[in-house]
Amino acid sequence: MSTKPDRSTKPEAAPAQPAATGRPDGDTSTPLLKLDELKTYFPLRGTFLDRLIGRESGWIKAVDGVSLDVKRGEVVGIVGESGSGKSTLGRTLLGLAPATSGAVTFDSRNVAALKEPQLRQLRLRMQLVFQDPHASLNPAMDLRTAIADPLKIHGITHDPDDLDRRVREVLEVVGLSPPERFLDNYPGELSGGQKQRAVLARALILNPDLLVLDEPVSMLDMSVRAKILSLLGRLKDELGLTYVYITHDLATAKFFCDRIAIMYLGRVVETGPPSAIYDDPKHPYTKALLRAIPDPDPSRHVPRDLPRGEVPDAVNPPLGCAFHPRCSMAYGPCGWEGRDLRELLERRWTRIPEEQYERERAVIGELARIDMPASRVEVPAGKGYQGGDVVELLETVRADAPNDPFWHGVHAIQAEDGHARVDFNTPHDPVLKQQGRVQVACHLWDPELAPRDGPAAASGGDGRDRAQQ
Amino acid sequence: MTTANRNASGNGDGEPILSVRDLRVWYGTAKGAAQAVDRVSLDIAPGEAVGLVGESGCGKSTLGRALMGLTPQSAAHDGKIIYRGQDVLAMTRRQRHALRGPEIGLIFQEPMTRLNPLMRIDDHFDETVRAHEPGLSRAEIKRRSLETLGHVGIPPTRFHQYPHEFSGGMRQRIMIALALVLKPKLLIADEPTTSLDVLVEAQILRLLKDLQTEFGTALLMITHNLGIVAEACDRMAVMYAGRVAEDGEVGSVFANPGHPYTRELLRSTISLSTKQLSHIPGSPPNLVTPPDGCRFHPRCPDAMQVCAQKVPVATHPRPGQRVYCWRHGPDDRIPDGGEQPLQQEFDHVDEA
Amino acid sequence: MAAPDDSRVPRRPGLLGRQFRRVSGPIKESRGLPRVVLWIGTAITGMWVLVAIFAPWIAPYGYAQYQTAAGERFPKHLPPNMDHLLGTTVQSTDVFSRIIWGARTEVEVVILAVLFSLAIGLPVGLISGFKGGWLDRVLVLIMDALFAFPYLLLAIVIAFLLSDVLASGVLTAAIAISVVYVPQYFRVVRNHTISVREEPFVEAARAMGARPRWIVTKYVFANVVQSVPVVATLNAADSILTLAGLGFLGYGIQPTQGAEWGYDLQRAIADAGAGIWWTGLFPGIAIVSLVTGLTLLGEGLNDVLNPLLRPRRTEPVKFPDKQDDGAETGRTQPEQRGKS
Repeated sequence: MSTKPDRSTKPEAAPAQPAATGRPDGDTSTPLLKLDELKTYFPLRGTFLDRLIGRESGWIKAVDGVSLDVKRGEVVGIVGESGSGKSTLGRTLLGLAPATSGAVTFDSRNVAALKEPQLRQLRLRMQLVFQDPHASLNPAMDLRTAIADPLKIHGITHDPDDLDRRVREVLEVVGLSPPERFLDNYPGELSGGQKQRAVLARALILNPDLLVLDEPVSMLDMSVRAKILSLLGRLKDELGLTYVYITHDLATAKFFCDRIAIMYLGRVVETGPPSAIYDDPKHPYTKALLRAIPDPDPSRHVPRDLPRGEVPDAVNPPLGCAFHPRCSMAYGPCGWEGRDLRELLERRWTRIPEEQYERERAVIGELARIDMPASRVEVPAGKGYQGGDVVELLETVRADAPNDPFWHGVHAIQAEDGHARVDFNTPHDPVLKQQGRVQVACHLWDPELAPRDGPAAASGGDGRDRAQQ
Repeated sequence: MTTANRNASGNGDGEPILSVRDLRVWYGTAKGAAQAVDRVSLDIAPGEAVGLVGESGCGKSTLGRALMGLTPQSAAHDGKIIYRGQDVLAMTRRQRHALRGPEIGLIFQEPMTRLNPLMRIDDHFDETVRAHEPGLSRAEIKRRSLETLGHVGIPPTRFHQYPHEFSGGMRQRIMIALALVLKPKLLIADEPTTSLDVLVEAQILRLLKDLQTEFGTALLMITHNLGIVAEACDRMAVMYAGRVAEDGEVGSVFANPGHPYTRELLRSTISLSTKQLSHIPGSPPNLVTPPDGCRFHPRCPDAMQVCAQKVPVATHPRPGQRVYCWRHGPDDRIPDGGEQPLQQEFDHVDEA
Repeated sequence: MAAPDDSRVPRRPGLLGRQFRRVSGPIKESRGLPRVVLWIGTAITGMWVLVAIFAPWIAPYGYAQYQTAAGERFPKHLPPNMDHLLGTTVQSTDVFSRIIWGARTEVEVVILAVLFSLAIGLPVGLISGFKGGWLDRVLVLIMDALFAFPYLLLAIVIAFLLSDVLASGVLTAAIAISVVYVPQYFRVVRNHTISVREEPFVEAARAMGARPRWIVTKYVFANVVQSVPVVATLNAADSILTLAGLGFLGYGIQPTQGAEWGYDLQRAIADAGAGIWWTGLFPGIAIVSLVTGLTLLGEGLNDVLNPLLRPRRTEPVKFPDKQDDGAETGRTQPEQRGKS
């Protein structure tokens, strides 16, 4: 799989590679693409005043330290929900979004450090396929012009006959045949699957090495998805392509990928071969995702024990493990903080009668004061109440649901003047650690932090090995 | 009611809350009339969850809207939609308006576009409840709203916030609460989870299922996702090109799909257990000039001569399962030689 | 190597041809009121353009001619008659001839003004919208300042400044008017560019390795330029009024350089009190009709080209099997589907 098939098997459409990009032929030991602690932050647009006085209003940490290798001929899946940073990751590794720090090494060149003109050269060899085939084709261009355009952009040929021949060939390659039927069509005249084929043709006409596929089938109908996916698989084998397959759909990823990285809030939480990840998921998030996929099997029912809530804001991610507020397995070191307390209280208040809610709500003052990413919060007492009343309420809450993972994270609750002080355990950031055939970033698998009866204790000490990136 | 009709409603207990009989909704386009819904018959029993599946452009959303009396202006309709003994299509505008909300609730795909960004959540509830129950006191409205919001997991502390302060999943929960606060007997959910992430999708489906059981609401779930139907519905109807191809108990349809389209659709669905990719050749027809006979016949691997000539009639290969396919007969309606396999001249150009 | 049968590759229209097709398609499909508005506007505007082109053949006299070829002076303030269809002015010139020649001036100035403002507004708007950043801010500031300036005053100032430099009154007026309208093109093109810039196909072009210049010309331009015909026609209507205003105030085309309706109106003010109606009425009608024609044309184009306003062409839907009976009572059984 990792050796590139002989170039002569490719259709004639393949343009000659410029000599400048000197390709180490037959070299399989170095990955084609290597991400090293890649970070992509976007500045948050603050208020007008913020910008005027130059105050930084924060960063959206879309990609927050991702390391990954992609070997030649491999399909690497980046799986995550919206807001996981998977699309930004794809755009960063093509140089379409600027990396904040870290490196993207493509064939021994650091994409993240290249300037636009050098990047343009590199784009001969790495191409992007978007989620929405309709929006990624220029509505004012017919297919002939649209698909030939990359050749003109890179000055490979301007000869109309040559262009015409190459476009026809690549249309055949993606299954839009006979080409005459499609050459003069505008994107608006094609079906969704045909448009995605046209987008593929446009990406393939440059004969790239790497295709970044950003949700290439998720806008298509079920009966068309399989068609496009098998086309992608066939093209990969025939043309010796390498894919980065970005998706939210674990089912297609399982089928399509050689290796998978599960992303959550800008970080990879688990990575490994699909067989290991799907048969024995280690990270609670992966487990939850796999459980949540609707399966066309009527004997199954929608699961009950789903993580609550949604992907949090990437501007102020949760302390410790970003998944801990939704995790049913979370415990002491996962990074419990003030915002979790607010959520706990609100969750309780949706379940109790209105009068009881009004009573309890009055005990606590302004909720915004505990709604912060801090391991120590002062819970203000409401008007006419003391710190002791707040402590009493918190203890009632604890007594009602003592098994809530939140209480593992509470170190101490103390009554002070006008408020109750809640101290949480010190948060720890999980890092990717080898665990059998996968790498997983979860404290449950860390022998130093894991509870005695946790899975890490059972599986021996190889979890100590730091991820080798 | 004929036997066919009675069989159409899966669990035969009691009158169906909604029966669709021979419904047609054709709407005008630049190229002619699109037969978005063409002679569809369907029953929904009280408290049951029915999944309506089909690919985009098969008419499932048009059908869902027609059930609430919302058809496009240029559309012609025909047939009957009987909701608890009354024909929805024969109602006056005012009667239909009174129906929407307290009787039939609707949940849309894009929650943000349905919430007024300038109104707080409490105002939304106030408006909705007052429109249908003008006599209610403010305190009573608040109590009911908070109770319903509690059911969908929205804390009372956020009652006075604006829609933009909520995440996508929360907004869909609010939409569900807004539909449920009027205690409808039938809830139509049109792709309620399509724009949501997989975990939130599962949460919302779980919620809909729990609420449906708790309130005894009937649910019509319109979706393209067979997985959702399998997990959340009791019965299902498969639509293809404006017509129902098959309907029945979810378990029996999945185990023994009677219509080749259902079978191929199941096979082409990619799930965690998929071992082999499979797809349906060709692409769905346009609804202005649909194929004669069975509309699926140009793509059908099992097509016979008769399929290209005559519209299939309802057959019942198993109790509670209705299939429109000549493969199941009736033999006396198939002309001589009609069972010969159809020579498919498959046109690669139409490959999607 | 071209295949032997490559000759059947059809000759394809160029960019302009394809743009024309995108505009002409909806026009042919248009229905109802927009179509009527569009055709009335086209008819009126077309008539004036024809008049302008054939002015030398239509006009019985020159625009400044006040005597016959034989040197016989026309009478002053002659009411409409057979020799002078619309009468004569205080300067003894023929009103009808001045209106015909005036059409030529108006059309010349408007065409030049539209071309000038397009030539500046379109590229500047494209660059500003595409580049963004400080360049965009500065350009928007300048254009907004120009826009906020009273337009007639601005035109007067420009015309005044240019009058010593340029000999041609038509050119001076055209430049003065284009300065007034550049901000409008700029705004429309810039705003449209900003929205197109965010489209995935623009990012796709970047991902293909296209230079910004290529992206703007091949991907953005074609999608932005559609909004131009409407703005251009509406602005043309407006610029007739500006030109007439300039002429009225004496800053437009000088009487020695050509006939101009606004100037004629100004000269006719004194006549109105004396009951001499024809010197003012007919130039006024000319202005109103050309402005109306262009406005109708612009509005019609807007309705037809703007997909959000364009009403779907829908014929009432009829079921083929239901010519006579509306009730349809016997068809409730699905089994009867086979009959249709």
